[in-house]
Amino acid sequence: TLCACLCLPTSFIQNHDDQSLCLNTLKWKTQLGKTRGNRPNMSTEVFPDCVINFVFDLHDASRRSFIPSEQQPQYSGVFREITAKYFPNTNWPSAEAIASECHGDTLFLALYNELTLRHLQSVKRPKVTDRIEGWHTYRQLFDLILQEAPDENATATSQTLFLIPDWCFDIMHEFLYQFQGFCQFRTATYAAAAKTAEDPDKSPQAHVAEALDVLSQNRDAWAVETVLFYLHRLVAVGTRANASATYRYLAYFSSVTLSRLECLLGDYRASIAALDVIYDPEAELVAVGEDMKSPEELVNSVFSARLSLSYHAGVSYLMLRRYKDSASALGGICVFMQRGFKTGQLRKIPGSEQFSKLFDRMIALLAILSHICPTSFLEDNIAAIVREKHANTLSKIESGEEGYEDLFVFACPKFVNPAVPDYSQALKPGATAVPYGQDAYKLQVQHFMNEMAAHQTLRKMRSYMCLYTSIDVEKLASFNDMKVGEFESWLTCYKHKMCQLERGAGVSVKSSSGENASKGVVKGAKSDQDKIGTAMDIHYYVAGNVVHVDEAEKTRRFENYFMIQISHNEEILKSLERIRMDV
Amino acid sequence: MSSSQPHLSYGEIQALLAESAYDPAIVQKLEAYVRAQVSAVASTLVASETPDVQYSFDANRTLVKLYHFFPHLEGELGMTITALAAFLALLQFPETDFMALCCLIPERVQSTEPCATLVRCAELLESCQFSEFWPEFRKLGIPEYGAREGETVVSDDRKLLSNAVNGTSASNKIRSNMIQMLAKTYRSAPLSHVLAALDLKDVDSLKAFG
Repeated sequence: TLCACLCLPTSFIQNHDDQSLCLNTLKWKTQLGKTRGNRPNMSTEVFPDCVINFVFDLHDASRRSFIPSEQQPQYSGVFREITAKYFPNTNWPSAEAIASECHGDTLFLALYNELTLRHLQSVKRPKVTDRIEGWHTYRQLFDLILQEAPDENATATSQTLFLIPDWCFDIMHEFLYQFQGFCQFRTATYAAAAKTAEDPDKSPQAHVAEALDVLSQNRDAWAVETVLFYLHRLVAVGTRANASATYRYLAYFSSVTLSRLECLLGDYRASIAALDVIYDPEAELVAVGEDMKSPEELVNSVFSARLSLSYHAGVSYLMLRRYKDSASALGGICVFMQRGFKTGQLRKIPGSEQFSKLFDRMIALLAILSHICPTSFLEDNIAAIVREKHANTLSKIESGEEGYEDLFVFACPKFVNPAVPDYSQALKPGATAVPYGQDAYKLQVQHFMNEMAAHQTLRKMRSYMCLYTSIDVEKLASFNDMKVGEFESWLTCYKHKMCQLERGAGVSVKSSSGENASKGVVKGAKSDQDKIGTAMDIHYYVAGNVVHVDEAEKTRRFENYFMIQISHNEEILKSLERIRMDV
Repeated sequence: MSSSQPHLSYGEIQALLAESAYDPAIVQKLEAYVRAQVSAVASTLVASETPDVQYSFDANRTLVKLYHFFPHLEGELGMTITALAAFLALLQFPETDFMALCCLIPERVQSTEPCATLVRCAELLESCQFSEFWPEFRKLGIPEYGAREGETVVSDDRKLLSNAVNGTSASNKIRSNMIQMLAKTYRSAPLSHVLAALDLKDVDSLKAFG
């Protein structure tokens, strides 16, 4: 093989087989000659040698060798390195160009398409046609994956596909991210068109009109019922007894994704129910590398999955008036993240820029929860962060001003309008900005505020009740600036609002690791084990005209306080000793 | 009468939801099941005599969600059926069924009758203003109440709602739920207060109810 620098004319290169060009550390191979697979490739795309090696190795690891320790460095390391070096702002070579390296394997090519599309859409703002192309990419991928799954009644068949858990989750996560993006794009385009429809002399901007046109011709793109169909099918196929490890990974991460989707649609009951598959104490353990893990441990092993699950579960529980469960889900993940930020562990995970944003949103939700639910127990360091960030807002709320809405609007997910609009309506005069009058986001915020409306009064009531062991109803009513008749219903209302469903304690989950024993992690219990509990920290009843109050039992937690004070003391002593040494 | 329309049994509905929950083709079957549930409440038969028609939050929620996904399937008829589903959820108070359902019902439906009065009833139940609840609730028992301008014919579904509201089984269910709530708060309560909350005239009717 000849090595020549780039000053040679390209005609010289094209006339020679297997030419290698050397430019410092860069090696290029033209694709007009033979490739590793000895098949001629007619594509004229030019790309580096390392791409060919990467495709070959990744294909091998996912379709032949099934070895996680071979796939992991390719997927997590090599792909990123090559992207950063050669394709930082552009697309990777097309599937046709590299097809020969994987013998034209359609499923692998679909995986390659998804992987490279994910990269492209992260560096370039997708146009409407890119979004539609994304839909076709995912449809093709899921159709092929489902096609290769064994039949329901087949006995365990040999494995044909292996994807590491990270890869499985990244596919599902991006799938829903693109769905969410598309719904928002659709809503924004409709609103932009409707805005100009009012003025007959104005016409919509060219890109808006074009987008409307493309959307009208692709009404099936990102249809919510099809998205739901794929997620449900992946869960069904992967939870069968004959499912291989990869299909099981896909099933559990699909259920995390399904839970997220239902939350974005405002169906919080379905969001929680979707997680039953993960918390099923009867579920078989699944192989992850050398270990056997429960579904919950599998999900926890991929941090982004754990974060997504906890955040959306926290929001769903809050909207369903299950404050303790919400605080437990959010508090647990925040404690984990706080530790991760301190040790720098989280920064190593790709996509970590988003983590601190989500952390802030969860802290805001915890601020709301700690305010409305006195029994939502938070770890001291998280409680300190909540106080530090939101003390002002919470004291505003105490003094009667609005504050919950701002916190919620900051913290809540971007709810979506799932219905496909009638695009022709957007161009008619008098068109509303929101099709069908359905503003999903506004509906959820309104629902939240309706719930919060009572809490100011209830908090005030509670603060007075805490001061007494028995008090006349009339006197308590006057403290709350109400007449007796009006006030009596509040006494019942407080009991009612704080009487909430709570997750069951769960049976002992089959587990090879001790991770489930850590505090704050929602344990393995399906929703059929939920029971009614109380979120109040006081007990009271009314007999005749008197309210009798009793404080609930508190678990005294002095040991934490002493430990913190001792450690502060140690630090002070150490710094004192250092001063003496300098003298 | 809509109650004589064929409908699937509870078991068949659960199977349908497991197989094809998001297929718009099942909308009519779910609508029929909602009507069947409300008819069961409206009728004088005891629940155990209609075992194949049990309350199913999942079925009702799925229907409301399908209207959300496919607004063209909803129409005027769908708005009244949504009200029927909301009515069934209201009977489950203090469970959070109504609350969870409301997150899926668009604002334009919630602000139109008969949903608007049902939403108001739910607010009164949630804030435990029991004596104020009954007059609002009774309004739903008048089929013509909340009719839109120009609407001359009352739909069958609207009549079904009125029948259910006027029947004894709905009121008794609500009363027993209210008693549960009151029992959590009061060890002893003035009789007048309890009678007003339960919309009963005197001690005898309270004893008859008990």
